[in-house]
Amino acid sequence: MERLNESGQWIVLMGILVSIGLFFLAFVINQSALVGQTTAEGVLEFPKNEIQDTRSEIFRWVSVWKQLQASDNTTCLSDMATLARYRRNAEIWFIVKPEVEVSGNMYYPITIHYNNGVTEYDETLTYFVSGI
Amino acid sequence: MVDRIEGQFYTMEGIAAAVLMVLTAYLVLSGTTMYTPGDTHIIDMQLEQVGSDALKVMDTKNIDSTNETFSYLESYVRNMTTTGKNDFKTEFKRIIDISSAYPDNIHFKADIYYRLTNDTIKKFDFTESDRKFSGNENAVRVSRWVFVDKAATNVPSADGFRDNNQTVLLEVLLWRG
Repeated sequence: MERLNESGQWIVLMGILVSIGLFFLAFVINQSALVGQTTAEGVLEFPKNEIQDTRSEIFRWVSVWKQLQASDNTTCLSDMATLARYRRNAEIWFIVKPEVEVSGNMYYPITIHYNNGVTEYDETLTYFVSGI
Repeated sequence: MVDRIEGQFYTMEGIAAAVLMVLTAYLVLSGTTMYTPGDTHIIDMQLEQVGSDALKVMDTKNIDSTNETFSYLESYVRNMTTTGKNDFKTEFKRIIDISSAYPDNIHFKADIYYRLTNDTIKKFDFTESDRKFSGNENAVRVSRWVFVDKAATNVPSADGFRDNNQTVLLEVLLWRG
């Protein structure tokens, strides 16, 4: 058995601890790049703006409803469904039912469906149009 | 032969420390190289958000004005064959430059897609920034529905643009260069 020199072991131990600490810090730096990428990919993939835009355009049609003929309902749906299929790779469907009275105000019940193969969105709401 | 076997623990520790340092250096270097593909996604996301926000701002009606029938964007699109081209170009450029201290190097190409009576789609070349789109740029696409009323006259009627109320799709390609 060799003769061990046991002095200075704390210094050696601290050296190992510091190197392990550096190892984990480097691991954190390594992961941070990945986090930035996946976050950006998640934002790009989720069609937040398209869904918000589709809702606001449907509300735009409903808000001028009183000036429009009933056939405009299907016109708007055909426009948006056809254009979304060709240019946005998404299926859009919606229906606007005749107005109902809720607490003295008139509301339009609207059902919206959106699906681009990855994200599916369904909503049923009542939309208030002032001045009816 | 010299036979001294003292200090073997120190040797093993030295080897262990060397392995740790090499692993650390590898992790740091691989982290840096991975940043490049991540970077383009982050830039794309930022560009797409800037474009969507600009279109949204232009499509918001002034709520203080009770007699305003159309948003700016709707006015530009319903005059797409006349004044709308340049008005959109100026206003869109102005809005996407707001967020930076000096004019940004964002360029864009805007097209309008509309539906014909036979359910096919037709494209109208709306407007383009001063630097033309060559097709090689790393562009992102943003789009917005735009309402066009039946009273609009400055539209490409000869190309089958319908004369009733309708929704068209304004599509903008954005890139830096």
